[in-house]
Amino acid sequence: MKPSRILYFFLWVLVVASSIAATADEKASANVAGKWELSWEARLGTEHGTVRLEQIDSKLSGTYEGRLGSPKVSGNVAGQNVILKLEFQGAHPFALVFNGNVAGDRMQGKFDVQGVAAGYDSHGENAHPTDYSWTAVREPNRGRP
Amino acid sequence: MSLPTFLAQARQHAAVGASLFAIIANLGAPVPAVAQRAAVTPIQHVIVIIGENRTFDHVYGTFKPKSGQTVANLLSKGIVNADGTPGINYELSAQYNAVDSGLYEISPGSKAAYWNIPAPETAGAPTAASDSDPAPFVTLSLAELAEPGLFPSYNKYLLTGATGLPHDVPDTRIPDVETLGSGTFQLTSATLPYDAYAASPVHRFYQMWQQTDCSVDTATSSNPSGCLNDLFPWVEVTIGAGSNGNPPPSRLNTGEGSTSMAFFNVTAGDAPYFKQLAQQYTISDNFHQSVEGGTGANHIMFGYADAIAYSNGKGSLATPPVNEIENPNPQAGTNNYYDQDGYSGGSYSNCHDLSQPGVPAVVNYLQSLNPPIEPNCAPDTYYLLNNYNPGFVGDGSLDSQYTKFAIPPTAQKHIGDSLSAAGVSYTYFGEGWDLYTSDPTGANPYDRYCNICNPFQYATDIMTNPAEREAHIQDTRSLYEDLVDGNLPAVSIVKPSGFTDGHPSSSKLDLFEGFVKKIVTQLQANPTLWASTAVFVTFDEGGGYYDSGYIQPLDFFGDGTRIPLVVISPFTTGGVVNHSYGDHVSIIKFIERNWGLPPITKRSRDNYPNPKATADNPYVPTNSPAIDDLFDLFNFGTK
Repeated sequence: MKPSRILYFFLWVLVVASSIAATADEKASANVAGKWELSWEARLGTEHGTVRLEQIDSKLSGTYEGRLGSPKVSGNVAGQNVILKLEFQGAHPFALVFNGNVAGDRMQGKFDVQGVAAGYDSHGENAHPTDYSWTAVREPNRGRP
Repeated sequence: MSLPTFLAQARQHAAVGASLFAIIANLGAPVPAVAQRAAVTPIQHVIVIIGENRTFDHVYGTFKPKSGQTVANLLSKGIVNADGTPGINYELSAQYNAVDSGLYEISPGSKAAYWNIPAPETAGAPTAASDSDPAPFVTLSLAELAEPGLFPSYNKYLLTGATGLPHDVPDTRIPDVETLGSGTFQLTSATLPYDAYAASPVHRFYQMWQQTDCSVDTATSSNPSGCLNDLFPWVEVTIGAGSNGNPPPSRLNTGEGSTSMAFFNVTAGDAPYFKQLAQQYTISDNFHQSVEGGTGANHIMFGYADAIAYSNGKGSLATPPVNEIENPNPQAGTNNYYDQDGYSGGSYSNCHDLSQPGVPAVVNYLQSLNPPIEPNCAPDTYYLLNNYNPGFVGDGSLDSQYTKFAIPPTAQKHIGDSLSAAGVSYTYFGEGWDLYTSDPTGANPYDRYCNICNPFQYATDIMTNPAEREAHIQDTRSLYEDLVDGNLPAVSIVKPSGFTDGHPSSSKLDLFEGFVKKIVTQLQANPTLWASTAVFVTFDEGGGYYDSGYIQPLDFFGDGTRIPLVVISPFTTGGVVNHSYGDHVSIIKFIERNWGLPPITKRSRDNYPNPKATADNPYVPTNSPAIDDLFDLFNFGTK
């Protein structure tokens, strides 16, 4: 093998290796552990609650505090994408699934009512029909490794 | 005394006590004790049940009254046959395309008849059943837990009727959906049963003025308002439920098509309980929604006999934010795509100011009539014309903490003030109130309490006083107890939840039938109460469905299309069809006359006289504006 071919081979190996490393970085799950102030646009207005998330690899669990009760909290993170599920119990059990993206100390996206996108506004007459948007803001420097 | 009886009586005593407290608190000085004023008729109790969104022709379009009675409907006019097919006068229901590309017009030009109306679509009607996001539900036990307001045999309808179709596509359950002709069509068929969810047509204020297409140029002696009711689909497909200030999409599809032109066929088996009630008791075929528009404005007119004004929340008039003021003028380059209107957009108008968008079209029409109709718009006043959340949530705190789309609290007088002043007990029974009080944002999908339907939820004097709230706003669970115990308030206003209110898309008419049947059955099981009670069953508005009846303009706000009214009592038996002109405020007039109450304010609609009419046309008042007090629906002489 000529020296130039050897050089090209090593360059090719370098490029591939760096590409693989970059891909791995992109797929690394964001760290969303911590205390978040969650809000979403419900049928008649903006609902609020506090979520404390624990994260093991890509799996999420935690607690929720708010007027609606104490639901089971679960979810997962893949890269910057987050799915958070709140399962409320009681006389009228229901679940909300929040899909969105993480950017530092902020998450946002759309939610649905257990997978049915037309959940709240089939009546179509409420002032401020829900747009299924949600946001969460992490309390700074708390609960983070 | 049983515990329920004791609790019920305690609640009524609390109601009277709270009323006295409120009077004292509001006046700031001691007042004499108010003795409960006696009713002038045998009717000691009035129950008003308000469903959602059906016109008279939509429900009773093919109703055949008993011998000796007449009715004005699709069948009697020859618009349809008893089997729902087009009749010899089908063209009376023909609908038109139009052009409005300049300023907003209520009777635009360049009209051309549809050969076939645009295909009705599915809009947001539910595709499939779901326990997590009902209705319909999957599991009966869960449905019964969530919805306690039905006569038991109707519970099964909570599980059925999903469309099986995507949203916003032609409703292919309707036979020949693309070639329905130019006018009204029967909604039900072998492929779309009565127990099915379907789309909901637009029914906002400025849209409905256009749908009804009123002009002095088309006025006749039998139709002096000149309303033609012929632009329903055109409004649906050109603007629908509004723009919210956004530009038109590249391809506009409101999801409705010509949903507005559908009717049920009671002669073919639809609405069997409402048909039975009409055959047994008294209905009106000339009763109207009081505002051209939707749920909120019509419930407000029912409670206040007036529209309510935007204020600073402390009794002084104010100007709403710019993006909450109506502008129905078409956006440049569009045909009727409003500039600013919608459930999160324009909803107020200052109708005293002819420079305000949309206002001159209505006011100039009213002034052109013979005799002219006074708009009844006060200076510098922005009236709420469409749905915005009320000023308060269930615990008496401000709704503005949850949404910016709430009208500030109002100090305007309402019928509750009149009743309290006379010591007459009253309660608004809103189904789901108890759940709503802990869930003011409606985050729980089972929470289908209607906040915009409760006229007292807008009122400072009720909502800021815990005793007043508790006395005058309760869940329907309390109503059912009262019916058993006989401790019903003098006036009960009853609102079903969103599951059972009959609203298309989110509910079904059979569910509202089941809601009414439960109450009527319970009432009749208590002979003492039944002997002294009248039940008024009606709707908040026609929901944007076509109706062929006469519309009398009363002021800037309405009237709108006919809606059903059934009056159930021992004094309204016999299957009578009454033709006197009325609207929601007629029920207020009945209450006021029955208990000797004055009109709510000097400008409220309950000041209007009872109508006078000629024998050959009982539908058109000759002393307009006039609305009936409904006493002529009762026969007190034979009981």
